[in-house]
Amino acid sequence: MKQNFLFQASNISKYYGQNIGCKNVSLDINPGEVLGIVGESGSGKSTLLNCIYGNLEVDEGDIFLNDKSKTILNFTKISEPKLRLIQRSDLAFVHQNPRDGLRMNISAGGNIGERLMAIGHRNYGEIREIAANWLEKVEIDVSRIDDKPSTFSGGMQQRLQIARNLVTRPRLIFMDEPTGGLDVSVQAKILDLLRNLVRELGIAAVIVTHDLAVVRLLADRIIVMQNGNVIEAGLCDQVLDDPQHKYSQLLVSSVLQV
Amino acid sequence: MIQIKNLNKSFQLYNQNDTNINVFKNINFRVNKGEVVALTGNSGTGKSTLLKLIYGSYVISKGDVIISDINIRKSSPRDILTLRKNKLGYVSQFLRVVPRVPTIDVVIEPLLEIGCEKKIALKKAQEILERLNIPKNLWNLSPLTFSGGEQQRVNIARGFIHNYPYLLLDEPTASLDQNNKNVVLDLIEKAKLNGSAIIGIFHDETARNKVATREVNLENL
Repeated sequence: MKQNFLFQASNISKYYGQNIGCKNVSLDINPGEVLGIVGESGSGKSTLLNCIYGNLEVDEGDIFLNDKSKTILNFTKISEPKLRLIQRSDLAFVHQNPRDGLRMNISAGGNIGERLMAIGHRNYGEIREIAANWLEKVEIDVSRIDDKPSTFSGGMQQRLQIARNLVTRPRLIFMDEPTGGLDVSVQAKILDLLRNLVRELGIAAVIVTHDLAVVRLLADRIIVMQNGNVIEAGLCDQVLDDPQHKYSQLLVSSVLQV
Repeated sequence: MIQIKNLNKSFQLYNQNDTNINVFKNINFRVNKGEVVALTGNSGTGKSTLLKLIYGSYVISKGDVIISDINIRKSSPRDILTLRKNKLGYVSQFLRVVPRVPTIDVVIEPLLEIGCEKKIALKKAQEILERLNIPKNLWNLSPLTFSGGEQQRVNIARGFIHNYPYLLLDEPTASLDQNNKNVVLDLIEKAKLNGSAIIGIFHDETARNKVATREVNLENL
């Protein structure tokens, strides 16, 4: 195994009874890299994402993280509490629906602060200051810090979810259709935000999306999935501009030109 | 040096009656430091395809593209991305950027990618945008709202803000007026004197004759 890798999943399989969730998928990510996972609904993208994040138990395969202290952890071998701690510190997960990733009944500041407290922050003034700082970063008016996310628009909620996830400075962020339910102008804002954060903080990301325009702008490399299998993988623009597999060709040619 | 050895490209289109399109066969040439090679030939002879093969956007069917010591066909995506970031620039005809990002931020991006300090990057971007006659009041607007010629100049600014030792230019002067065309030709000339190896497609014959040190006609190969 290479020393500078951040994350590696090898031969991951997940079955739902007789059905394949994903089969024999391997991938690896270096610090600061963005990997896109594309494919149509039901191709196994989200299953794979949840497996490698540790949300779903895998049937076969190993998942390795080179953690902050340079220790290589195997998700399938560590204890549940240890995994939860890693998920809150080294990793982050942004859900398609912000309601799944936010606590709707606590304030925006509380949503961000809660994550900090979970990793040991105790000074209230300091937590509030960091939260305000992050609201500014994701372009939410700081005066809304005490408002509940239920009073926010969908785009604001998604940006708040991103802030809540990034405040603990994860090194790898998993995103499931992060711009999925948003209108186009809000999508652009979030794409720009993500790109800048990835570059400024050196965060790596795995992004599941069916939107090829989104991956083209964000991803360095992509993998294409069909029926739970990876059918093509490579450089983002190469897979989109000169797809080699029959199904990838269909996927790319089915996009409306704008 | 860029070396093209026995390069073949064909496209297999599975969803269109399994059509196989042969673009070209056995292309051989090399481009040394300080040379500008102009690709010529009618539309459809594969000039843009060749640039995309060199850049790694298209998959090489057979043969090799070697840039300094790197064999593109044998390189991993990561190696190609590193090569692009540091050494290999590409100015395409189309501007692809995140909507609503200001022009100045689009232009400094290649420098930020190689770890350049933002202050220095901004200064360089201002210089090159000024040189390319992009009005100052547009710098903080997204280039997606610009005219075709302005967008093309933003692309050129991105391609020339970093001194790439290898440069691929796809119609860099196509939709520009004479004045701006000359600015771009000067930038190419300067890169050439700096020792860059450049491959370009120039439909405009006067532009081509001005900067090209040599022509490679894809129809005669």
